[in-house]
Amino acid sequence: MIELRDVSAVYPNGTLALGEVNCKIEKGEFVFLVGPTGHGKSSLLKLIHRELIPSKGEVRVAGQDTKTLSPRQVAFLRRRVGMIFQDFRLLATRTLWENVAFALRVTGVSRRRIHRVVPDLLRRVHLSDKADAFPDQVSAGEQQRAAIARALVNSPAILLADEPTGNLDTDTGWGIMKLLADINLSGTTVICATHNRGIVQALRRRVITLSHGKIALDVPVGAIRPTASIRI
Amino acid sequence: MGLQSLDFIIEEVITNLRRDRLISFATLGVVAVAICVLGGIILFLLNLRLLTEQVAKELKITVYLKRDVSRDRAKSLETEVAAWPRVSSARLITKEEGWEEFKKTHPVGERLEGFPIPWTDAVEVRTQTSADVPAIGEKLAALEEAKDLVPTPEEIGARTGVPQRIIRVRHWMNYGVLLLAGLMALAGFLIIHNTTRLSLFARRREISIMQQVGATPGFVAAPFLLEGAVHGFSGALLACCVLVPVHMYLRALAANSGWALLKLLPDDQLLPIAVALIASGTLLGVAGAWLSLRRFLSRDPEPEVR
Repeated sequence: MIELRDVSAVYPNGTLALGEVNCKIEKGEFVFLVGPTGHGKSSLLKLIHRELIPSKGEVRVAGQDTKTLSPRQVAFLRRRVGMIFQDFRLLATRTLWENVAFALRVTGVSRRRIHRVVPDLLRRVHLSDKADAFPDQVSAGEQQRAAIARALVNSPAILLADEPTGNLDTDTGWGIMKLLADINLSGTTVICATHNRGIVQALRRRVITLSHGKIALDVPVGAIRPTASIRI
Repeated sequence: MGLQSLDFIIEEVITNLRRDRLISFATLGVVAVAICVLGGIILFLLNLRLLTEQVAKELKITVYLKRDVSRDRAKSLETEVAAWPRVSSARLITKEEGWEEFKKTHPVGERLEGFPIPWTDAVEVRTQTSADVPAIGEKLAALEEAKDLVPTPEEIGARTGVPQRIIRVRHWMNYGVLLLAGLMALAGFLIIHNTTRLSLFARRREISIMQQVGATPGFVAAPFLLEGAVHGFSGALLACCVLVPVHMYLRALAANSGWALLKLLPDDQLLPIAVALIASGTLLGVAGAWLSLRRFLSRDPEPEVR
């Protein structure tokens, strides 16, 4: 599904984002990306989402080399690769319903289909009763759930999450992780960059540790033992 | 692009125009002024050309032939002169026709009945432009068969002087107008370019989300291009709403002035000019928006990493 071959990415100021990264993520996997800030987690997600282009190597997503894609093809790739962020990135002037619908409208989906899909998605993320609320009228966790609903509008095969619990308290963070786990159970590949060791240990999924732009560790699913204090 | 997309794009344009009302009006105003000045100059030049053409049309040279020139030779001369380069027409006026014409137009004409014809055959020559009159006049004067020239070569210089001066001014103005037209177009282009930049900046978050969720570059660009077109079109339309009635009023004023030569462009010729101005304004709007968009959209995502 996703393959990185000898991938290096260097920022214009000369900072190495990633250096000779090799990894393969199969369809339906749930992968955590962990590591200190600035060591390449977000850069790796951006490479998959084609917000960055590798300066060396090859990134293949669903069989396509992202480097060779035209801007139009990039748009179609992003419909199959949803992304959520630590800061939610919702439009403050639109309701949660409109925020989710916006993602459909900009891809040319009919109003009829929007009216069918959006309520379903809001129900899935438990936001049906907050559909008409604006982002600043709901909690951070609800905003993140709305962002997840927006990322799912095109039924993506891959969902990328960049520190999805970074701005949330522990309980709300667990709720979001549970939601991501449910989405993964329905067959969507989930790649989640996080600092939250507790969540990583509790969920016991594949963990890729990045250090100074390189993969320091790639621990397969189930290899991490849950600690006694963690619950999900 | 389907109907759904069109629906979204139009909705976005209306929302943005409403939201940035002040900027939109400022843009529209500047475009309207630019197109108004541009259109005003174009109309002035077209009217000036019309005037010089009318003056030129009035200019004709009549060459009176010597008495011994036969009618056959006069006829062949008419054909020869008509074939000269820069001559638009040559017409033989026989001495009988000339005499009759003189009697009709002259106050003492009636009293001249029965007089022997003091006239000679003549050829009336018109040139293609007023600039050709002096040269053709000289050529006619040099003809072996020519007796007199009306106007005389000296008078030709004086009579063609005015249109010649107008033409010289017109030629000079053509360059000035081209420059001014360019500056006006640039002003309109820059203001729309700047408005689009402001709009892009204000909506950068929205655009970023559009790109994140898979909107194609065309879809992201379309509302801004349409907005540019709306600004350009409305500005130009507003300019035409000023220019056309003003021109119609001036035309009526000129018609009543009593100066036969002062004729402005007929109203039906204003329509194609107005259409051309509106089309230019719209194109200008699209081009200005496109330049902003090209620079803005090209920043995502490639320049982030080398």
